[in-house]
Amino acid sequence: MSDLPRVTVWNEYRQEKTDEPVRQLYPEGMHAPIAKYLEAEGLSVRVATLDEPEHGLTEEVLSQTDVLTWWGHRFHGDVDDAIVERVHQRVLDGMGLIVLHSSHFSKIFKRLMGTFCGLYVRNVAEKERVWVVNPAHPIAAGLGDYFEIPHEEMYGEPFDIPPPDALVFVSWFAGGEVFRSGCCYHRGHGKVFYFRPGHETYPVYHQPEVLRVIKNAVLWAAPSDGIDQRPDRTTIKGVNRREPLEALS
Amino acid sequence: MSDLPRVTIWNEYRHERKDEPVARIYPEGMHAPIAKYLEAEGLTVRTATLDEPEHGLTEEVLAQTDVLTWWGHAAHQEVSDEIVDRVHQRVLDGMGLVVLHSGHFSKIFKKLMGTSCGLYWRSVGEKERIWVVNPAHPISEGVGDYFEIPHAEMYGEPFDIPEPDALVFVSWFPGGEIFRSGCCYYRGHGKVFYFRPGDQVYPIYHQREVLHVIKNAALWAAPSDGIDQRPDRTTIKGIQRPHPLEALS
Repeated sequence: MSDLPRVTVWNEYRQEKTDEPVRQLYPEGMHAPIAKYLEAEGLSVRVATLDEPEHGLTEEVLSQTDVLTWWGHRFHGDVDDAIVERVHQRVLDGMGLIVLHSSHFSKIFKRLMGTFCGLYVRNVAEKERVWVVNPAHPIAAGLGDYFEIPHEEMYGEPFDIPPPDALVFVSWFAGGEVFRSGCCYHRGHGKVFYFRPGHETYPVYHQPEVLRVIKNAVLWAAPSDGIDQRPDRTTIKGVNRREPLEALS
Repeated sequence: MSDLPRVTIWNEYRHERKDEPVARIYPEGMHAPIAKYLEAEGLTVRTATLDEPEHGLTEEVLAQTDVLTWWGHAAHQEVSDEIVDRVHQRVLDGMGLVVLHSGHFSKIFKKLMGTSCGLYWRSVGEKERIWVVNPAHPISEGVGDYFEIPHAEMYGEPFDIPEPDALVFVSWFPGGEIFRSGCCYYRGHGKVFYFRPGDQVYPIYHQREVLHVIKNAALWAAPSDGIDQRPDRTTIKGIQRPHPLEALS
């Protein structure tokens, strides 16, 4: 394995084929500009989509994935529970997971969060200003105080997630709402980052700042110490530690 | 509703009826000493057990429960998924949940945490010293620097839980392990506290300090602002916010 993580960019990839405005923005799918950017930055990238066998997330693919990015929207319910369990286990074993935009309602994110992950929404192409609230965090590298997305769908609080282990971005919306747009979690041996921007009817994944954040997040979420494959790893079950570390009288 | 929370003490209540050593320690069930203590402290208390219809957790009972405590061990799988979903929804709406000891592997705790909740353990009756690591926290009120349990089952790290939103207790064991024994979480509108002590073969729920912590936890976990029953509460789904709070040009 090289020093840079191996990334799998997962995309629902249906609206690009059925909705003309989306197809115009992303003729090769929303995964394409993300994959191309990460590849240009030197990472090993593959893509996987919902309509492939096993959604493109076979055991073999996951065993070669250090960080998985996830974009889904209308078809969360079509993702097979067995694949969700497989991804969940891989995250707990150490794989990073970057959850984008409407994937706040994906099965895998809800499974990892344990909450419903609901939020408020309005889609009138208003301006979003993404503020950096944790400038020391590696995911904020290279961004300055904030960046703007000219036209976006609004997401507003309350957002029903666990308090993040680190909060990196807070979005301001012209209509008056705020939103926790960059949320870090540690789950098992794995790292999870939720990143808000990315509505399919705007060219958000063509914007350099957004792509930079995704790259930063991928580097942050890469396994700190490889993937834990110990047969007695605690993500499976309780383990009897019969032999104490100190002698018991 | 009085100022003090209405508590429901849930217990699997099987060991006490089948295992003679457990029956001797808890002839009326492990829930009995907890319920009696909280009642004597002025709280409104009821009990519920696995083998009652709907495990004693009907819609009506939950509607009158501000804080639920949970002890389960050998029969987690016999808890119906429907009841787990009901409790989960109630927690996200604001009900407090105090998860005791082997409840770390209960369906409701795992569902709320999103991780496997595995750990290491050893049952040889060794001493446990429970250190207060957050003396400002209301759950450690009246505890002092630490308290001891003469004979307990050991639980050791790694414990596969999300980073707690507040860590209140850390246990020391003479065999060489440590454990995060008092962990606070915010989930939706609800508060969750995991408290480690309580193996059924030791008289732990007769011990004053343990009961005091459970009382503190019940008071802390009580809903801050009642139970959220708004029909548009975000624990159900995303919600259109078509009208911005500020005029959009």
